[in-house]
Amino acid sequence: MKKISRRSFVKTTAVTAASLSLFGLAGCKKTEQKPAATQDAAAPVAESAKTGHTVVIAGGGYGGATTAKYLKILNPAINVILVDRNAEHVSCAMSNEVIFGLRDMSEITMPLKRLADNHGIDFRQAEVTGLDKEKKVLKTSAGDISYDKLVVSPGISMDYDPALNFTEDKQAKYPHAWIAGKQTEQLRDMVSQIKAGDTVIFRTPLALYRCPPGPYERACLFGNAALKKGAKVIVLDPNPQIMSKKPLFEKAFNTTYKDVLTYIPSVNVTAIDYDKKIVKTDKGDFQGTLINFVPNQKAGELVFTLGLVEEGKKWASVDPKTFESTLAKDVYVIGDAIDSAPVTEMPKSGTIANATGKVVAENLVRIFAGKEPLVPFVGNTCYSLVSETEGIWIATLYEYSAEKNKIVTRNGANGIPEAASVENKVNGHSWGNNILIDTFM
Amino acid sequence: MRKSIMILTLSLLTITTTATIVMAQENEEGRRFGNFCSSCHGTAGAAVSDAIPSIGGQHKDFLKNSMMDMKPIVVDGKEQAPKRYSTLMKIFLKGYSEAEIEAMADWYSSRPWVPTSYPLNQDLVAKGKASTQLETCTSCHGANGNNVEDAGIPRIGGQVPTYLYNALLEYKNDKRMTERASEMELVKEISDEELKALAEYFSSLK
Repeated sequence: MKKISRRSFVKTTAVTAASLSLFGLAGCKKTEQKPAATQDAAAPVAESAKTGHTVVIAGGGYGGATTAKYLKILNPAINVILVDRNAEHVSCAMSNEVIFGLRDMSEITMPLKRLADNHGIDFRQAEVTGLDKEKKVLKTSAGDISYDKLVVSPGISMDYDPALNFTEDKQAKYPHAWIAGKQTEQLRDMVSQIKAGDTVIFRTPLALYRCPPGPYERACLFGNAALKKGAKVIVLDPNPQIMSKKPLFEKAFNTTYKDVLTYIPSVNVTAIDYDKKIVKTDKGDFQGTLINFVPNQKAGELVFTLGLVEEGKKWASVDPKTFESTLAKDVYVIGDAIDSAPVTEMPKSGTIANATGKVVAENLVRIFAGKEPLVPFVGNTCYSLVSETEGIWIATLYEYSAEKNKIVTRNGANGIPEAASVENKVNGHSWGNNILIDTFM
Repeated sequence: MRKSIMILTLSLLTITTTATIVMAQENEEGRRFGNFCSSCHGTAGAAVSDAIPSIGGQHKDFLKNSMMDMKPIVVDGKEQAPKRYSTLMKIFLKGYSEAEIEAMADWYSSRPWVPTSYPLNQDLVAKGKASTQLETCTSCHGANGNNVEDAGIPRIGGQVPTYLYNALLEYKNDKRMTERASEMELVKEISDEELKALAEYFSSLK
């Protein structure tokens, strides 16, 4: 109710609000002050301005965009070049809300040129094709780019199982929508067609995958759609149990959705009959009207192209103290693409990509100023919906432990709420809007 | 409709975030411990949405006290309920020492205060402005919602609206049993509806 009334006010207040916010900032002088990050090291800043340190960032998602923005905030003298194959980034966080009609696609679509213009970042829309580690050159479809430091943040790609014959070409009809974009809209349109008597078959990805609670949020929202339309949902989870916020999702499955949702853990899909829409598994065959198969995952293709993945691995190995690649000096990998299990308890989340982007930005500024980098200190917040009206969250503080050589939970600061609530949903919506702006504006 | 609104809102935000500049004399330790907070509270603590408060440019003592009051205290090995209600803040604050909280309060209080550009309900704003209870608020918080004489009193002029209203309800419903909560006892005499209007009015101040 409140939101609707606020929305109706937007158009009339926009101009006033814009001018007022400018006045509100009048006391803060934009260009005359020194970048404070290096306040106590004025000389190195001048040096960096002269020698023009260049940081090249490949990938404009939560990790890359945050790194680019915070480098410029901390030291505008650094030359920051952001490369992405797309003109805009579509946020995977909150894309479940778009699929189920709770947010508009435009709200999660972030033009990278806008970010670049706001902060003096050099944005180049190009395909990255290779890396010369010795000469420190990133090769792209728009030419070679020399760097002092390279930050790579490509997110995930799909790790298809050849036995299932589920590849790119199948996705016109069977969008996984686990990388937000066109597929998000495709799945949204399919969801809007769900009708009484339909059966949704939703296969969640095997860990490790992007966004640990994401599959269970989507399961709940499928459940919510099923309740409204008189349909059913079968959740096929290859994992032995719910992988995040377990008691809260379990409660939603067993109460709110108990009549419409069947959750089956430890199940392996062995074949898909695409014509008859039958998913065959080691626990029986399931026929549905809508199949949402989310494949298993690996690091974004880019880190494979650049030779940043160790033999036989699916993710890029990094030093947990710095996020520097174990395979290339002066190259840093952040976000979902890192081989997280050996080096950190952190999840593959947008918030972590954002937070580690800030850590890397801060440390590159320190290194250019002749200071020692600091070990990672980050937090993760992730909100999920369990219905249209109620939300939940997880919160964890992390710090690098020298003893374990791993980024671990700090002082037991980790938790989930006792129950889902409207308050958590409202706060979650604010979190979404704020992190989008903190990252992409 | 939603699309055009988001675009409008975003274009407003461009103005505010572009101008969110790093100021001189930063507490670098505070920035390090608190930098990730901006993913929820906005860049340099300038929130753009309505429910999570702006903390950049907030009065330092209030910031520190708020964090200390939301931090669970352990007595005889048992975790006590914090004095101030929170959802997830109690989890994060468990991980910080008092000195670290002090550093974060120092850093965030030194950031520019960016009054909310969140679209407000102008009927409510007008109602709040006309409220007979307005003076009850301004006598401590100042006519512009920014009493600079007492850093323990929060800056509320330009704070985001849903947070302000929720804060008032928390005082009213004894969810903020903090040292200075008695100064907010008077909200118990004010209806929820009127509190909402007052919150909206203070959000509109710059």
